[in-house]
Amino acid sequence: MNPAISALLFYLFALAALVSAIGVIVLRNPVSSALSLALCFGFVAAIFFNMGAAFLGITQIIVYAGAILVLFLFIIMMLDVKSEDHTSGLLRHSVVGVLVAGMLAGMISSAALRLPGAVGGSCPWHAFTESLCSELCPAAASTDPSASELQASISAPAPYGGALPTLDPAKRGADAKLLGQNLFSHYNLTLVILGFALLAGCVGAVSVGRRLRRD
Amino acid sequence: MDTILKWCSDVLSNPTWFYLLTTIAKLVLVFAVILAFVVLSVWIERRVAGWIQDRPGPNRAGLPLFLFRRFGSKEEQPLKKLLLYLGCPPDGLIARLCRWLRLDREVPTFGLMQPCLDGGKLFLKQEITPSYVRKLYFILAPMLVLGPPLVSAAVIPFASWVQTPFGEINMCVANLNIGPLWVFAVSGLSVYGLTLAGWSSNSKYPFLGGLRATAQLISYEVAMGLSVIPLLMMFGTLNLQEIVQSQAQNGWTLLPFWGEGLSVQRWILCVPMLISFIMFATCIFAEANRTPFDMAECETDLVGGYHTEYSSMKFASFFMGEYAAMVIGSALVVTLFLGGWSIGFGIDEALASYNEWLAVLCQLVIFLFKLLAFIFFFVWVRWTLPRFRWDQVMKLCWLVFVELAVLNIALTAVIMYFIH
Amino acid sequence: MAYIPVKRPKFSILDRIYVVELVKGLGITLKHLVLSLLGKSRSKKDFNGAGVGACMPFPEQRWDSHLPSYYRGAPSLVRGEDGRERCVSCQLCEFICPARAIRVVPGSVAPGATAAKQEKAPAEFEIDMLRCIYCGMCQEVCPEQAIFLSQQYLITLTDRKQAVRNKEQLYRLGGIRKGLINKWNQYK
Repeated sequence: MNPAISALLFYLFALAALVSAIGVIVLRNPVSSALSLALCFGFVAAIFFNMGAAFLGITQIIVYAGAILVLFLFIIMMLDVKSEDHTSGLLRHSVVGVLVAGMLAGMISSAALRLPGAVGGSCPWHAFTESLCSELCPAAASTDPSASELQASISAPAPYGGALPTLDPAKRGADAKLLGQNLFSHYNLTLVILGFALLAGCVGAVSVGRRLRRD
Repeated sequence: MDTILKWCSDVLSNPTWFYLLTTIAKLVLVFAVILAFVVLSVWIERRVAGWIQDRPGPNRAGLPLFLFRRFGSKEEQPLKKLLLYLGCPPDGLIARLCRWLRLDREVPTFGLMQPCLDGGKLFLKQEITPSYVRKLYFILAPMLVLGPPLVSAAVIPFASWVQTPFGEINMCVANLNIGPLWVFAVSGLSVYGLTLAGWSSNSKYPFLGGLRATAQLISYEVAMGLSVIPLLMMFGTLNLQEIVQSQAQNGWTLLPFWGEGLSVQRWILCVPMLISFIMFATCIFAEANRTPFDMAECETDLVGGYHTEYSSMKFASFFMGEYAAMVIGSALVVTLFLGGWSIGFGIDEALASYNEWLAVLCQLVIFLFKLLAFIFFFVWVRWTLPRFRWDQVMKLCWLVFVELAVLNIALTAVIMYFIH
Repeated sequence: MAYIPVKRPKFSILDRIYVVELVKGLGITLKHLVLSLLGKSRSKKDFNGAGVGACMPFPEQRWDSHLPSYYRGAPSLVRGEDGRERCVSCQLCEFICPARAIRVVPGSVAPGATAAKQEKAPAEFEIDMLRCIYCGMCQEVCPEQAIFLSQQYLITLTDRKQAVRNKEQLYRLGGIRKGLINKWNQYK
């Protein structure tokens, strides 16, 4: 796709995702918030699609929008959560919230600025000032050939898993294969640890949720 | 005239315009076919239900001739006049045959008019929105049910491709590399419609129906995703067009009778494929909310399920959404397991080398025919099996299908390891 | 409350796998489908069926001769053998009618009528078929045996006004009834 159109679409989807993410917090009805979150997931998936990572995008929709969020909705409806009232402890909550959100934002931005694509840590500002230049902010896995070249020339710091794999746009369906190969070779240990964490959570949920039978 | 032709060819030579125009044409075709098949599957449902229960089914609705004043009134019977004009005796064989076919009363449609008239009736009915519903979601829900199946049709290939002077046309609206996943994801979104319909109706039975639909659809999505993995392992691609292409060359997934399919290894692989097919088809039944899995709208314990409070066209869009999901599910099963558009026995290539357009046309017809056959199977099962109990449905998914699917994946992996 | 455990049947492995039984069931329904398409459905003759399935194509084919003699259809007024209106407009039917479907306006006997002992005759007699419940109470109560339930069961309306049947229509439906009225029957 034309890089200019691609960048334009990215900003559109990002804006929409941000707006719907704000909606999650602002909307008072829990069901509305949940649906707003679904919308946000959808736009994030659209960003993935735009980058050529179709598999990642569709997984986002299947797993988050299609399953996890529906479970959220399920539970909100089951418990019949009324519109929340927000009178007590506003200050305390906001202080804690700002702290946690700030930490998270710091982590994400430090990671983003050190990614191979972010040349000298200047990516976001360059993108704005030089008006939609996608050459300088290539995605981690993009079909844009210039991005692949750029990524190949940069070596990432060790904590981020070395040089990121690049896609060959000529090959069809390469992104699913690439993802699988990386996930099960390079990041295998992380994957297994995460899997065990999820399993532990699952077992915990079952043991909490199971009611002992009297009879 | 020449300038117009030249302008057309100029437009078509531009790859962007060519892509845009062909995509719109394909989009319109797919949309029309699906909506026609929704109507047709309603008709099939009712006729087959009738036949299975020793009834004729809805066979009356035709175009009554007396509607056309020009042809005369009902009493005058224009056909009789026509037959007399043609010189047929009024009690001869032809006249009697015509009378038996009810040709003297109406233009026969074998009841095909019935779903159309039902649609018209629903369209004209009074729209009742109860005062206690949550308006926004109440209106949003039918759209969320009808929309996803229509969108997910985009990745289903309905024929192979043709070379035109301006470029290649792939007979698939969006030739994505994530074909089946796209269908799973998008049709999985229709669960929002059911849930919201149940919740926003703000009444007991719809709510229970919505909860059931949510639990069932999410569960069966897991089993469906796992059950199709052996097939994807065999083909090594997620692109539906490529899957169908390799089926056309090497035999359908379940019936490898030609090409490389005529090998022992391929026939051994048929065992996991068959298990996969049974599971996948069952999951499609559950995903389309069809009997024996229509827990969300089972009228014996839930009145009407999630659409109890709906009326008129909103109800009709739930109804159409269900049938559209059935059509898309059938299309996916046909594409993955029964060869999609491929005619089989290497006829595809021979036809394509003779005339590509003819090949595409034949493939489209074959695809629609297979689709009809599988829709018939859907209906047949519906009128054979009673509805499962709710706990049975959940047990079948979590205690049987998920385990079986994982085992099936392992089995396929072992077989493929020893073959290659 | 007594707790009675229900004996569940033991299923074999084959039954539990379900697929075999499923195929059997599909076979049964397919058999029905094919037979009804061929027009050879079971007990087709009993239902006087024609064409597809065991069903009788109703408006073309009827089973009126099979109606029992006690069949309660639309109520009708009858005339005697001599063409005399049997109804004397006593209005008993109007009073007994649980659905209040009958409306009688009494009038004088037409001059030259053959009924010597008759003092009144209905000027108007209307039955609203949308109200009638075919209970037959009017027939039961009539001392003159003037109102009978006919065998007519097809009451198809395109308008509410058509549902109200007036005297002429009721007499046309009832026709002439033979036999003495019990009340005037000296032997009874």
